[in-house]
Formats: sequence, structure tokens, C-alpha cells
Amino acid sequence: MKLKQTLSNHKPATNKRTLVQIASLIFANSYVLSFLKFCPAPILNCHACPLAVMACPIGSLQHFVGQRRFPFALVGFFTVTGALVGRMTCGWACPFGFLQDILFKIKLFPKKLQVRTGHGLSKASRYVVLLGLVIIGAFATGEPLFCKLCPAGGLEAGLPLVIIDPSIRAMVGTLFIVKMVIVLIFIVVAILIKRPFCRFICPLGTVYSPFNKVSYVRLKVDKELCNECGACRAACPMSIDPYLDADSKDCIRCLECTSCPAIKVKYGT
Amino acid sequence: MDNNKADTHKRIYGFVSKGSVNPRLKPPMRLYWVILGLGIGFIIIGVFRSEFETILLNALILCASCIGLR
Repeated sequence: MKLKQTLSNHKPATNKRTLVQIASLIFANSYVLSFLKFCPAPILNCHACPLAVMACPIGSLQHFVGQRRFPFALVGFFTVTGALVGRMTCGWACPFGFLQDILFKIKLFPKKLQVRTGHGLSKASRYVVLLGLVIIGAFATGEPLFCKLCPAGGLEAGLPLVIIDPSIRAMVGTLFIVKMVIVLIFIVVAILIKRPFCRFICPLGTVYSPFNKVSYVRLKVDKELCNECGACRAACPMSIDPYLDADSKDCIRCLECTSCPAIKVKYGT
Repeated sequence: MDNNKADTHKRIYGFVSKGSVNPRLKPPMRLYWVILGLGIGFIIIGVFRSEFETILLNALILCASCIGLR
């Protein structure tokens, strides 16, 4: 009952967040600003997309690792973004996260799956992807292994380029089919589970996640006001419990939980 | 601690001290400023090592892995 009451009084950040996500999607894929491609985007947006204006940070990271060079600029870029907002870019600016938010709203199946974040598989899988595919894989093979399987690349670059360019279509092989199967699986899972890619796979989110504990923008839970009703977990796109750990590594700082008076945004201190 | 000192402490630290702490102490440097400085330092090193040109070249080449051509 209390949960229902809290949710009925819900004034979430959703509307504002959706507008920012749309703006970010348009900006990141506006084509005319492609002179910005020297700069990595703070979000997962494939730079092979014909409209992309900035470089994909994970693609660039793999390129440097593959060349066996330390990516000072990228590490600095991740550090600056992380120190300022932590994982907030995942919640407010990432077009791929936005797509997952939209997909989860589709009521194709009778029941949605409730999966807790930060336990078992979800805790380890993102680190396995980051270390195994992005770092060790790229270092050992010199190739961007994660890009070969990335559903964001398949959706933003592979699919449109294969559709519009006959010369690229002629070069399509097994890998493209594998990528499309991954994209299809991703779409189905994203309809069933909130943000599955962010929870189990995203290497960029994994890079940003430790900064949640020390970033300028953080969350604060007033333990006196909180009655642990679980409304924040129900509103959370990552299904975490902000009252247990407001600065959780899985928190994407979407601020949906701040509709509860017990949870507030904390700047600086 | 009289009210004046308590107010000063609250202004500097954001909370009222329960003990006898010197309110003239400077607030501790927050960790995010240190990390931010470190990040900016790394970016500057990256600029001198022409890393942004490398990022640009990598982003401009049509990525066969991203499209799924290989």
C-alpha cells in the first residue's frame, strides 16, 4: 500500500531524462558535427555509424590496446567524466541505454523478468567483458574483439550501412549474421529485462562504475525518512536498492529514485 | 563551542561539529578534485602524444569489425 502511495506521488525525472536522451541521440548522430570525431563520446555510440559525430570510447580504447600503446587521453577522458558525474552519462545520455528503456516499455510478453543487479552473474560478467574482450583480447590479437560482437555496432553501423550501401552488402559474411543474431537476442532480452546490456555487458559502464563512489554528483539517503518500502527499487532501471548503497557501482544516476523524499542528489560534499 | 564557532564550522564543513574542532581549519580537499586533476593531466599528456589524431583516424576508417564484415 505504502509502495503504491509512493509511486502514485511519483514525480520522476523521466520526462526531463527522456528529453535529454533524445537530445543526446540527435547530437551524437547529427552527422554535420562530424569534425568532432577526434573526441571520444562519453557514451556507447558506434563511430562506424554513418551519422556519428564522435568516436566510440571502447572502440578507441581497443585500438590503442591493440597497438600496445597506453591511451593517456582516453584514460584522462574516462577519469574526468567519472570524477564529475560517475555513471550519469549511462542514465541520461547513452543512446543505447535509451533504446533499452524504450524496449522495456514494449508489452510483448505477458510477464517481465525481475533480475537483481550486483549479484552473481551481473557482478562478474561486465568485468569479464572489459578485461577479457576489450583489454586482453585486443592486446593479444591486435583486433577490436568486442566490436565484432557489439550489438550497438550491429544496430547503429552494420544494419544501416548494409541496407544503404550495395558494395558493403556484397562483403557481408558469417560475422554479420552472428552480429544480427546477437542484436535480435539483445532486443528480446531488453523487452523482458530492464537494461540487460548495461547490467551484464557494457564495458564503458564498467569503466565508469568505480567513480560512483567518489564523483561530484552523488546520491544521499536520509535513513530517518527511509522506511525501506522498495519504491526506489521498483522505479530503478537497474533494479538496485539505493537505500542499501546509494553510491552503488551499478547505479546509473538516472535520478528516478529521487522522487522519494528520502533520496536526494548530493553535489560535492 | 559557542554559537558563533558552530556557525563557522557549519559554513565550512556543512555540518555542526559535536567536538571541539578548530573552525579555522581548511576543508579537506575532496577526492574528486584530485581525480579530476589527474584526468586533465592525462588528457594533456595525450595531446602531446598526438593521441586525438589517432582517435580521429581510427574513427574515420570504416570499421569492418563494427559492421561485421570480417
